[in-house]
Amino acid sequence: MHEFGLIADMVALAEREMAAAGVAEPASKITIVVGKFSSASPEAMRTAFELISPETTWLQQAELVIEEPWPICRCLSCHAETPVDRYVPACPVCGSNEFELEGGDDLRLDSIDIDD
Amino acid sequence: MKKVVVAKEILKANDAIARENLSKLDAANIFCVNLLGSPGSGKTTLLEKMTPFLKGQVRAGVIEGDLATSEDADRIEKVGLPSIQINTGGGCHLEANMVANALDALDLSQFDLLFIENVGNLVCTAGHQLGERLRMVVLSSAEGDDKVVKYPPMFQKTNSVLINKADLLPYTEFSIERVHEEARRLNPDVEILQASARTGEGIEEVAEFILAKRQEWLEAR
Repeated sequence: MHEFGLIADMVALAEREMAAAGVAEPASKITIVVGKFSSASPEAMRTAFELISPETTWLQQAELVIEEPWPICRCLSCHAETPVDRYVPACPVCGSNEFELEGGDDLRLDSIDIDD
Repeated sequence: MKKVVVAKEILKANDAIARENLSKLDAANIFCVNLLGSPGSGKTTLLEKMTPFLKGQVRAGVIEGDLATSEDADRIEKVGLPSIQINTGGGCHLEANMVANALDALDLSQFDLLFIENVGNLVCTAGHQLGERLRMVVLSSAEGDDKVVKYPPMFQKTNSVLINKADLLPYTEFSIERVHEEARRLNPDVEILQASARTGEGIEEVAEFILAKRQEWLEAR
């Protein structure tokens, strides 16, 4: 996708949320969620963050943590719910091709940690 | 240590503008369709060929998204549909604020149905809501039947898929069944249509499908 723009949007969202929470100290950790089906690349998000954070005072010491939730393969035959990192041709548990793939499309700012 | 819990979508700003677009379109009784798909899948040709089946039924218009040219908007104007061009200046998808500007430039009282022809792209267009009530992904038989597996978010987030270039099916290995099966796994409610915009086969049914969706929306309001 356009990970640079996504990180810029994320930083703007974080700044609004910190202002709303009355927090002004530098962040030590930023946790974001980039699902396997989000169309965004975690590696490119990290590169963008590494470019933006030195230019942004409150982010200079911050570590970026990226969670990558997987879509769930919900089998309609054996009812297993298996996380998968890509489109699978069959249920990994029973091999049935009667299944649905749900979720994994998260693209979210989860939390900002601040060391006192 | 302090923790600010946010748990909000990074594209929240885009989605908020998309919701404003939707309110504006609702207020003007306009049903909006986001047309997605690869470059060359036949999105513009589909619009050209649907025009005769829309005329007399609804007042339709097109918001054309492209990198730099107005080729598509010119084609649409030629068949008599009013259109407005958005140039993304190299950007590979439309964002809700671009559509908001286009809506400001249009006289919304002149339309019942607005198509947004997105930039040809199977990746990031999926993540950006624009203010649409219906999404249609145009997938042409020439692209191959592996596109659902390779670009799942696009098919997970759409309401409908049009398999286009059906006239070429006898010359390709494209399996309609495979697309049906794989798209339904990602999206059990997806509706799948088939047509050839080039020959015109099935195009009336696509227009009727869109008009029926608009009607359902009008009645549900």
